[in-house]
Amino acid sequence: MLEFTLQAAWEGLGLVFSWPNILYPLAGTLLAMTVAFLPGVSGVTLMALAIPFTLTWEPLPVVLTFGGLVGGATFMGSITAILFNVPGTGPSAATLLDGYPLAEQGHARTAIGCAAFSSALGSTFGILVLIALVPLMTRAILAFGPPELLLLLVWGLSTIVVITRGEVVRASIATGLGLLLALVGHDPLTGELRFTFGSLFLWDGIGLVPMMLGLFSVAEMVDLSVSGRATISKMRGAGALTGSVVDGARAVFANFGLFVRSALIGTIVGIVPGVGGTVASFLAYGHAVQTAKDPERFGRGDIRGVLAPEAAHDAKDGGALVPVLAFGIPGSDATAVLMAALLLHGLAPGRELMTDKLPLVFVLIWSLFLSNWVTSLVGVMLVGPLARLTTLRVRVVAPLVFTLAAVGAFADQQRIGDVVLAFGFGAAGYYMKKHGWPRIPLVVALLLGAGLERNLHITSRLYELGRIDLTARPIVFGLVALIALNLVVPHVRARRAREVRA
Amino acid sequence: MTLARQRIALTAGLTVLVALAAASATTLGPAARRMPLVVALPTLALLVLELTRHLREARVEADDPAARRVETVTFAWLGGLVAGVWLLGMLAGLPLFLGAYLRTRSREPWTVAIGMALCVWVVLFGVLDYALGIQMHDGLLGSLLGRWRS
Repeated sequence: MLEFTLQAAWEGLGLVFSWPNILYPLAGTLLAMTVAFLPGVSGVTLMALAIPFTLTWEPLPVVLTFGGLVGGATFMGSITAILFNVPGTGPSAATLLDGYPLAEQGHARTAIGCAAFSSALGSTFGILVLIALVPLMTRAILAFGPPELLLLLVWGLSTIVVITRGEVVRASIATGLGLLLALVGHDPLTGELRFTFGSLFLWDGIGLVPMMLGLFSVAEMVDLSVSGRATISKMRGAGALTGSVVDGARAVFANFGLFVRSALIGTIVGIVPGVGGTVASFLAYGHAVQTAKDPERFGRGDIRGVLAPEAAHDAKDGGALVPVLAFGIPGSDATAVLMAALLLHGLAPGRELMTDKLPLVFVLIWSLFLSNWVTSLVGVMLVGPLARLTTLRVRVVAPLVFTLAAVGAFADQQRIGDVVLAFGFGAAGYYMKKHGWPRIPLVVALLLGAGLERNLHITSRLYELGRIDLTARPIVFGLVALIALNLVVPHVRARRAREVRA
Repeated sequence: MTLARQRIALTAGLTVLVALAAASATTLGPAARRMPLVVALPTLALLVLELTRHLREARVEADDPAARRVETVTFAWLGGLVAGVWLLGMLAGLPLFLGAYLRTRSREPWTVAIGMALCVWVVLFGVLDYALGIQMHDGLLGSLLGRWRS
């Protein structure tokens, strides 16, 4: 089986790196990177827009192009997170925790360089592990049912609460608020309307895009305007920026153990359907904090806080394709659109695709790999001008960001109410920041809330019907132990630190 | 308002909101109210704990009046942005906001203000509206004008 997989991987590699095939993923990547800078137009929107143009194409160029489109948009989210404290995507919310403080200290080049190398190497690691594990993968996926998924999401949320330095109560409250916001709209099981207060606008729930734009971009710019700071970077002028891409790359090799462990977390989370990159990034960040000898440095501009989530986020990409291709279970919006594109070209997920058409699966994986490297290399090439953006005057940047936030909030679902929502969240985000309330748990909880509720519903229904025996599921026990560890370890550490001080 | 009062007001506001959510969840069916109650009740308990902590803290921190003035003015501009978009639509409201903000609040030269407003209009109309087919919001005046013309 391994020999067959290796042969398919080799064949797939040859198909991607041949002329003119290589042009498709390259074009897809560059297009996705360009569009990622347009407010409100996500990689998913671009993929959906691309489907009609590829209807007459053969399956191979479609797979090549979509591999590039999936990989191209992700890294740009990390760049905006590092430079402007604005997470372009859910997973890049973990990168901003240390990436933005680094940019504020004038080390934007180091942070972007580290993010680029970490994500490119992470994607390589994920793909190599994937090739080795493809034969075991199907068994691993089937081991994850609704109770395991539920606990995995709870583990993700508990990690986010724990890593919020010294603010466990407030982080728990923010998580609760995020989950409540995720419940606005239709109940997935009964269709009952919840917390809509008679408003038709709220029937579809609270959008993630207006919330993120408000809580981060708008709030950050209001805060910068109020603080009277001249530029985002506390340094005046591009000449004062320190650090380099080489420093960022060196940081990856200096912390190679952490890189491998983070990439492994990303790969494992990627294989589990319906969990996604946000959990992978935060689990890796949490792991970096919990295993560090000096955890107090995180959140203040520690390069390991950029390295770990970036490695996990890109390492998960290869693994995330397996549930889609093997079982037709998309774990995210992007993989759902990808599945639709494949189905339209007669590539139905399942046994046939994972056996007879396995080379085509590897074409997708290798084009994703190529896309991740191209994105990182272009990111590194642009690091100088991008880092200089942090030295632009706040009084010019702020109104521009307010305008783009309005465009982004509207363009996502083309509802004027989302613009109002974005600026409402902007005010909330500003006051949260001013009074020391963490904003990340709120966003992540909104992102994971729907999955959490769906799996809670299914698990409790199956339990009521006597269809599952929780005591016979070892992964459930493992995850419960990890959640318990998450809750206990910080207290033990704090106690030990107090004893040492005493 | 002092910072301590602002903090109390923020926490109290959130407590009221979550209490309302919990109360509203009790009116739902048994399946639909499970998750809201599982989340709302512990969140409410934590909020009450946090509010009690704030009330016990007798810290008096003076807010910087200059910062408060900038805060108020910035939020007034943002209110203007939302009102402008609602009234004039995206294509007119947003470039107008940007140009006006850059000229009057940021004290940028006319060339910068008009140039950037024009760039935003080109992105809105040329890229989003025309190329990507994203239908921009017309605004109240735009819809009234459209109805009057037809």
